[in-house]
Amino acid sequence: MNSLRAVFVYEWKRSLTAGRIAWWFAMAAFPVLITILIRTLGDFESHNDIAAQKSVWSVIFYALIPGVCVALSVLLTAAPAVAAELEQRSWAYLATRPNGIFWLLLGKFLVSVTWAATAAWMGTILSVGACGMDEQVRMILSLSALSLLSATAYSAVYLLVGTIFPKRAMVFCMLYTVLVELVFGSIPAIINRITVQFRLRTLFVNWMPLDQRMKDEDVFQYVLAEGSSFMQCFWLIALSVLFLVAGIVVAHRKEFTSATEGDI
Amino acid sequence: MSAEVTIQFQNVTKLYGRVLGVNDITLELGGGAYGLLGPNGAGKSTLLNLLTGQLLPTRGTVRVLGMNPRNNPTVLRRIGFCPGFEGMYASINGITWVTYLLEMQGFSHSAARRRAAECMELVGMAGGMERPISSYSRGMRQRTKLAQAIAHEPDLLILDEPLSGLDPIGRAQMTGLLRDWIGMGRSIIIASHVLHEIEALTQSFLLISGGRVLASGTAEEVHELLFNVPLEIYVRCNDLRHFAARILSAELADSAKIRKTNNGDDVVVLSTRHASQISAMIPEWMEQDGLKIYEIRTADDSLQSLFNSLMKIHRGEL
Repeated sequence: MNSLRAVFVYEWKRSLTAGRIAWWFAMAAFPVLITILIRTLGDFESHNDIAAQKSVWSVIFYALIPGVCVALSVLLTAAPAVAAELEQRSWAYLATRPNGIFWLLLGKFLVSVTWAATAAWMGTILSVGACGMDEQVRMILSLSALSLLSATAYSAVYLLVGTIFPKRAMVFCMLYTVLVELVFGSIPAIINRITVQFRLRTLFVNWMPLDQRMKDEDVFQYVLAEGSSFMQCFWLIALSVLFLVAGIVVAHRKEFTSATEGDI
Repeated sequence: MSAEVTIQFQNVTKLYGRVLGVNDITLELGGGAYGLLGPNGAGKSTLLNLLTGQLLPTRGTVRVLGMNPRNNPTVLRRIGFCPGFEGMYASINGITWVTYLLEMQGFSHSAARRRAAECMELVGMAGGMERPISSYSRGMRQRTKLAQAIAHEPDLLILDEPLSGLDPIGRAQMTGLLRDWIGMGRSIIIASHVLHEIEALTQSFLLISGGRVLASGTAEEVHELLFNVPLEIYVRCNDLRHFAARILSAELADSAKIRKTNNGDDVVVLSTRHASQISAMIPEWMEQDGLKIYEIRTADDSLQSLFNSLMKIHRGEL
């Protein structure tokens, strides 16, 4: 456990650069700015009843916070986990420690989860506060839980993708997100059940204060999972563990030397 | 420790796609100190990466301390590795880096910090250990790399070009430190392309080139090889023609040419298998013929020429 603590502490320290901190604040501020812009420029409040407005805000927050904010944060932290060590050639020092690869990736995963979740929580509190709706505590708790689950699952997925394709980690993570999570995740077929979005979306509908008329729409029957919220959480955690273990296994099996051809 | 077979390679071949890293190496080394000598691109780093388990052999088996080193925490707990490249986190200071790696080794934070300070002091970095690594000179980086490799007191120390970039005083200090390490009965394998760098540390050498172990033996045997394979020797003296004639009449060289060097000096370039005999005869000729020898040296990359010759012998061309 000393190794895990060390990686976690050092990775957090390394994250505290001016650029990274600015990015953290940008991620936290992004949903708040959009919320303020919508309230200032949009006029949907005058055309909808309170229940409909709450539903619209819920959808917006879901898209902005556990969606964009978490995904972009994780993209910056989890995707280059292996690539960063290979590029600066520090991999050899860490991989030649007992279980070094395991602790390194687990530590980076935890840093990614906490980094993304804290930015999302800050964004949640400020955005929900700025939207002016009631049931704010419920919204904050729901979005915070969704953000944590989203950060956990996407950190594991991006870590795996970044381990398989360290040279173009961010590009492949973006491709994965668009193709698998957005496209396949929206197809009403068996394939969407293995996506993170499918489970998150179900939890969103279960937890957020959505208008019953919205929940009754036919489309929800095809893009939501059956079963309790507990089951959805279980599936998300299981998927996260699966992706994380797969990432660690791939890292152990691949030959990541920092040596170049000239070092033969 | 010394009775234990420390390193065992059984028909080990490593290919990087179509590029050959090491080629069918079989060797067994007990405890002790070994120098791995070879020119750049010889396969030294590949061999060391196989030892640390970072690479998997394409064919054959590698055993370190009796076990497969690949992802093996038991082996990794007992080895210390100093790679040939830098790769340390530039933004943190030296002691933090060594502390971090010790914690990765399983030390608690306080024990790691204490041990890291001791090791940084041991390698002569007491004054600079609180400075960011980005501000270190090449020599300071080498010392820090060595500190992280020895800090957990491994049974087998694997060093890739550890003295590269050090000034003469730094080299002497590091050599002393490594000698003490060897004196404690620990095993060490040092890769280098400069013979005299590791000659001061060990009497056992492995000569590697083209991915093959071409020869092994003591320093004396390596010197013997150096003098008994055709070498190019440059001699600068006051009477080049007379010296060349002396050499050829004594049948001590295959050829002798007078050539101008890049510096503009005229030298005799000898191709000889009898360098040791020539060096023995020179004082006599100087006395008898009034020759004044200003400089004798092998071609710049003498080790490379030795390896080229060994490769030719290996292929049956010599």
